[in-house]
Amino acid sequence: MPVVLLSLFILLFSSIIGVNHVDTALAASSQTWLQDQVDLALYHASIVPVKDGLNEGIKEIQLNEALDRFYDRLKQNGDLSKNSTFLQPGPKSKVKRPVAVYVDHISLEDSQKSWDVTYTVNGHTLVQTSRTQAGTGGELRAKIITPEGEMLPLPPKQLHGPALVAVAYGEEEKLNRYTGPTRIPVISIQHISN
Amino acid sequence: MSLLLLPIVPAGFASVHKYIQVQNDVFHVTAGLTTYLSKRGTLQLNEVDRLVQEFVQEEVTSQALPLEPDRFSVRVTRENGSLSDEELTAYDTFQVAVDYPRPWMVSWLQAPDIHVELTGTMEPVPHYKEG
Repeated sequence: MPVVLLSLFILLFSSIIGVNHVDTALAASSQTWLQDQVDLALYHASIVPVKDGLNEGIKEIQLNEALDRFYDRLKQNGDLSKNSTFLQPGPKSKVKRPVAVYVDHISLEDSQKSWDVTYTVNGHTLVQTSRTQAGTGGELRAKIITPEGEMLPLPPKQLHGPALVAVAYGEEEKLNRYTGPTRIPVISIQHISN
Repeated sequence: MSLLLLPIVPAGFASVHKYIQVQNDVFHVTAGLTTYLSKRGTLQLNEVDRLVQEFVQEEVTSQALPLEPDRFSVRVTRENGSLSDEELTAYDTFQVAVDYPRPWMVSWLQAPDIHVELTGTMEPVPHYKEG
């Protein structure tokens, strides 16, 4: 009897550890997946076909056009459909819950300054709640404030000229529901001119 | 019975953990490969195999990924079918499909082999200039 009880205890213990290990792997996987999706889509958004043969490769930025290309590529690669202010994952998508997204354009003039930018998650929407100049040097420091008020700093980015910046935030359920959802904050930057 | 389960349960979790990691790494390599090919602007078909092989080898080695480059099966095709004998040029859309065998798993976890498919566009850069 004691052997059985000890075995059951070890089984329970190893199961808890196993579930947490799998949760960690899933969180890292979702983060990489969303980061790669946004990177690929933003790269695609940062260009536009010019077929006149005279000015191939050069065109003034049209943000709406760039956004269309951004969302088209997210749909093609990640099965993420634009739904007003957020991305709705489809059956082929790796994430299963809506992803809030915000895309911004930084001008040549603004790219020479440093910025502290705050994004706030409001439902499924990501809102830029502040953008404060913090000297010069072209450093972009961004953070996301979650619905619970938690502040998630994003990796700083260096601006070398006009750029498109995409910030996304998603949450995924873990296997172990007691440890709260996995938070997936993502920032991607793509320069649009030398 | 519970004694028999003792080694099986951790092995099962370890298998799932390994599978997720490998799937993640394969996806990341595929995303990098798609961007790498896009940035070439134009692509001669006879270059594709060599470029893919070099990229995968370099990516796996430099990032110390627990993957075997030789086990990658990569296909690059045009958006609307197989790659014809024409080169891929600016603005051509293409698909990169990668297959990689699943890692070792305990027999009762019959996960499929890993398959990743991504779309890219041959994109000379930069395209936009500030208005």
